[in-house]
Amino acid sequence: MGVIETQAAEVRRKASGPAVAPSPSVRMRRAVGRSLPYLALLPTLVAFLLLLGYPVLRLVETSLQHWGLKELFSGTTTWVGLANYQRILADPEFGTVLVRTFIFTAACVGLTIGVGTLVALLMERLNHLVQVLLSVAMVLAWATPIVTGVVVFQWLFDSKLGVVNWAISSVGIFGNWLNHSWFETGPSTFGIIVLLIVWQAVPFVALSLYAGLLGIGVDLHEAARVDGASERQIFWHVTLPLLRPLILMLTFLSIIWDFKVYTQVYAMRQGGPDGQTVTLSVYSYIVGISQSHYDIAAAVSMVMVVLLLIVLIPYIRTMIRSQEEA
Amino acid sequence: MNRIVRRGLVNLVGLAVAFLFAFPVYWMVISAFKDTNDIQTYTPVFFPVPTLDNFVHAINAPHFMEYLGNSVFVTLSTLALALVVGFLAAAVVARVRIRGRRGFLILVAIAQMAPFEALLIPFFLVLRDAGMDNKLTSLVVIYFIFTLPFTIWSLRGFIAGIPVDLEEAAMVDGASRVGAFVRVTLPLLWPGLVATATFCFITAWNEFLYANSLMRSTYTLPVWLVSFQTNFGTDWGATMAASTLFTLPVLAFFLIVQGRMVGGLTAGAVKG
Amino acid sequence: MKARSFIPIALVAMVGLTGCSSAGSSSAPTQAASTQAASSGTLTVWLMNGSLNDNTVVQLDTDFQMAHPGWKVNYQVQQWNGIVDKLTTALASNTPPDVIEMGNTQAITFEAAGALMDLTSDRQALGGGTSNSGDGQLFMDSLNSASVYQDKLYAVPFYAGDRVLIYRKDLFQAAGIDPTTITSKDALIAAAKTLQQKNASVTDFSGFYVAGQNWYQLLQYIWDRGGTLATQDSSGKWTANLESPQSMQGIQDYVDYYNAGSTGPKDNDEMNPPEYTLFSQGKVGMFVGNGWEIGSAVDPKGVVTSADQVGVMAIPSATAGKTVPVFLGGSVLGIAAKSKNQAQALDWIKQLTSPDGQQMLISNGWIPSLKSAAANIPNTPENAILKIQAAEAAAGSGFTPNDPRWAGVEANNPIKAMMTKILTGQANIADAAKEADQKIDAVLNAAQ
Repeated sequence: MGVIETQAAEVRRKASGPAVAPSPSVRMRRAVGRSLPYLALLPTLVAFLLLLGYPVLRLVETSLQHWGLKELFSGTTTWVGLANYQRILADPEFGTVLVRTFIFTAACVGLTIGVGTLVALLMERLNHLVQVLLSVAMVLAWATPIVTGVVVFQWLFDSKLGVVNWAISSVGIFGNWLNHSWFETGPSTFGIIVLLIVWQAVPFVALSLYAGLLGIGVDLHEAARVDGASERQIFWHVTLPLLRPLILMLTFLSIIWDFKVYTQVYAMRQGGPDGQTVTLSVYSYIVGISQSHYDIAAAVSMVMVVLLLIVLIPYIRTMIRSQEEA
Repeated sequence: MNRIVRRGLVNLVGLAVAFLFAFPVYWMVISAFKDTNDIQTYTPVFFPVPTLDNFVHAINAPHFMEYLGNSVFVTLSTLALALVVGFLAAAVVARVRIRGRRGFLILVAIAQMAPFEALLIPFFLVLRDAGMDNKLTSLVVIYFIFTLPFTIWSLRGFIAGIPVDLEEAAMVDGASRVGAFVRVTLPLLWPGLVATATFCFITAWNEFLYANSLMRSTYTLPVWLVSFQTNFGTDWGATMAASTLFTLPVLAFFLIVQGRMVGGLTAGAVKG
Repeated sequence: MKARSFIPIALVAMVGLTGCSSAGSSSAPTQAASTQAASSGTLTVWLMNGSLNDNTVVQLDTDFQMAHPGWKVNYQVQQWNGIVDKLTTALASNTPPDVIEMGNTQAITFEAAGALMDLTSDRQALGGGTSNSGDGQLFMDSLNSASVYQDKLYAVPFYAGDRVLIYRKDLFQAAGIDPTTITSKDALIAAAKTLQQKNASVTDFSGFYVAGQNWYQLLQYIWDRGGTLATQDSSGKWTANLESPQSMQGIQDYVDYYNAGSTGPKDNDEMNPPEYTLFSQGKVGMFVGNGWEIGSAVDPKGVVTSADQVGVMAIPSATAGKTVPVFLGGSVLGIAAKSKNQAQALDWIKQLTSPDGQQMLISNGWIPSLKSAAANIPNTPENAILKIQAAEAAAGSGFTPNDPRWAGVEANNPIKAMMTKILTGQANIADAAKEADQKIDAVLNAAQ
């Protein structure tokens, strides 16, 4: 597909090259035509460079100043250079939180994309009724208000009153789980948080990939099947390569979302047990926002953006290339 | 025979997956139909004797209709802005080779990384100094900025995923560039547009921090949603009823656009 | 998928502040509110959800408009979720609300930032006495310390509330326990065990229900043994004292109460699940709860269907015959420094510190803001519980450290972590307390 697009673009570019000197009106129209794409990008540029760019600059400025509630009301601030950054980096907890955030993000993204892909493939094979049921179920999960989702998961996994422990115990063969605490250890608590995030993230990924599969079309699969390819071969050699740009894009978005996710992680146990589920965004809340230290919070968020950039710039290049050159 | 059994099995798996996704939502909905003190019990109650008290309480909460109107206005405005602006940009970066395209895409990627929670105070200061705080239109603009990077990436991916040769074929038949795009690619784009639009809808519909902090005289529904939680106890029944009502418009939106999607697909398939 | 809503679910609890207050007693008047009254306008008043009932609000508005012809009151109820972010932006805006309500720990943050009007010169007119501390101080002490920052008054005490021992009258009767005998730790534990024996047929029944992480309840036992949470020296340095022998004794009391048969979760607090819900379901014989929880503990469709089944008494101390010092939560009212209607705002607040206003607070079920009013709550059946609460508070009360940084401690509460570690046996009291102290010290002494 990438090849086709590139070739077509080449053809188009050659075809539009001037053979004879065009009349002024044609030239005019062509000039408008050439600037048309830029005009289409203009609203986006205004939105990002002006409407978003200015507050972001203010945030960068905040991270270089002593900036708390007092400064908000007095309007006067003092520059402190990189002191806020130094304070974070000198915090022995920061390294732990950083590593934890990376592992957490990897788990969320891996599961979201993996399960999302499987569900999309499943969608394709379902009859219409089940397909509609599954879509509706996923949209409902997706649309559930985040804080309500957290509360429902807390209820489901409650050690004494939770449906999950009740169900496991009722089955009988696993013994009595009625007092099992899912929130006693960090890994177990993270497990529940990841489950909640994946539950709400898969619907978008699965529906997007399903949309992508529909774009590929059934005929391609039929053609491959006629050629004697097995289902597995079709998936690895036909479906997956065609879905690759879409999967790259969804992975990219998921990495950003899951790296930054705050509400679910904090609301579940406020970073507990004993600070073991504190990720970078939660850390930013605890050391910054909760004490109105907007300067520290700004510095943490800047570090997060820089980390994301370092990790994702090569990825972004791959992503752009994957659709331009095959 | 074997094939029928396999299809049956696949559909069973589909139902099981649907159950897993739906169960927490089911739990939210039945909790909304329980008395508040019966929501958490030692033996779970799966089919309660339903009470509508919680829904009545939720709807009768002050300003419900006003906030609902505000939410609809903010969400639909955000959706329209993000889709139109995002679609223009996505179509260009997916289909036209222009100078600075990569730079533009990297800008969009960086915008996607913007830390919105930390940006609350900077946004507030800018809006205050411009006399634009406490205005629903400011919320629209901010949600538009929130959702735009995603919209561009997502739509670009879907547009690029549709082979351009279909358009070329239409152009050979005499259609203009834009005409070919509209007639051939757009219908095929519907499923992707549905996923993207649903995402924008949910983001704007659910947003709490900015709605709560930038507004003072009126609010959107997420503020109503938390109004049953106080320092003097939480009315969980009403919270769950409100949450249930809160998700319905999203579902309605999805079903409406999805209905279009099926139609669009068939049309696209015929042309393809 | 992940709408970026940002709702800190752990609300900054309404709590009091440390008793330490600066010694100075002079109340040098600084710039007072402009007293020339505009002839008309609108006063915007923000109160928190659940503070005052509708009748009281209507009464206040009517009274205010009678005294201020041409003025209207725009009364708005604010939600607890996200309130700190909201107050921050609202107070910093160019058209802030005139009067705002703040929880006790929130107030210090805004006072220190200069967000609120200095009310020092209006202290006496508000009924709060001539001095910010000592004998001239007439407000409830915890509310007063929440209102004073660097010896200036930046807020006006609003109302207070505290915890009581809530019990099942009918179960006590059936088990032959006389509630008046519950006057010590030993008696309480004995009663809990008796209740458990008599109600063995009820699954998961707790004679005395204690949640694993009810740190407010824990603090009361620590104070009861003479311990403190944290103290500040003259240089401003904080030292957390959970590892002191007295505090550790208080922690031991908590563990003993829990181990007397509580089915409360070791890894969760009193609101997860809500203790009053379990009470209404008949699973609880006694628990330590806030005054407002009594209403929620009765459920016509539950086991506790009538208020007649519910009894209330003061929380007994480990020392026979005494009650524990209680955690005094509450709210204060402030006037935005940027308010354009400060004189009217002050008049509105004065309505609540007047004798009539204090009665309104009592009728709303709150301990009123003036010590004199709290000591003279009328002896009516409706006020029975409130009188117990006020008596407890008068006998002794405690608060969390009066420092803006304390919010950072509660954001990731090391006391809760300590409690779970002790109850699950992951650490002994001494080690867990020491670890919690270190964490609290680090946050309270961080650069500001």
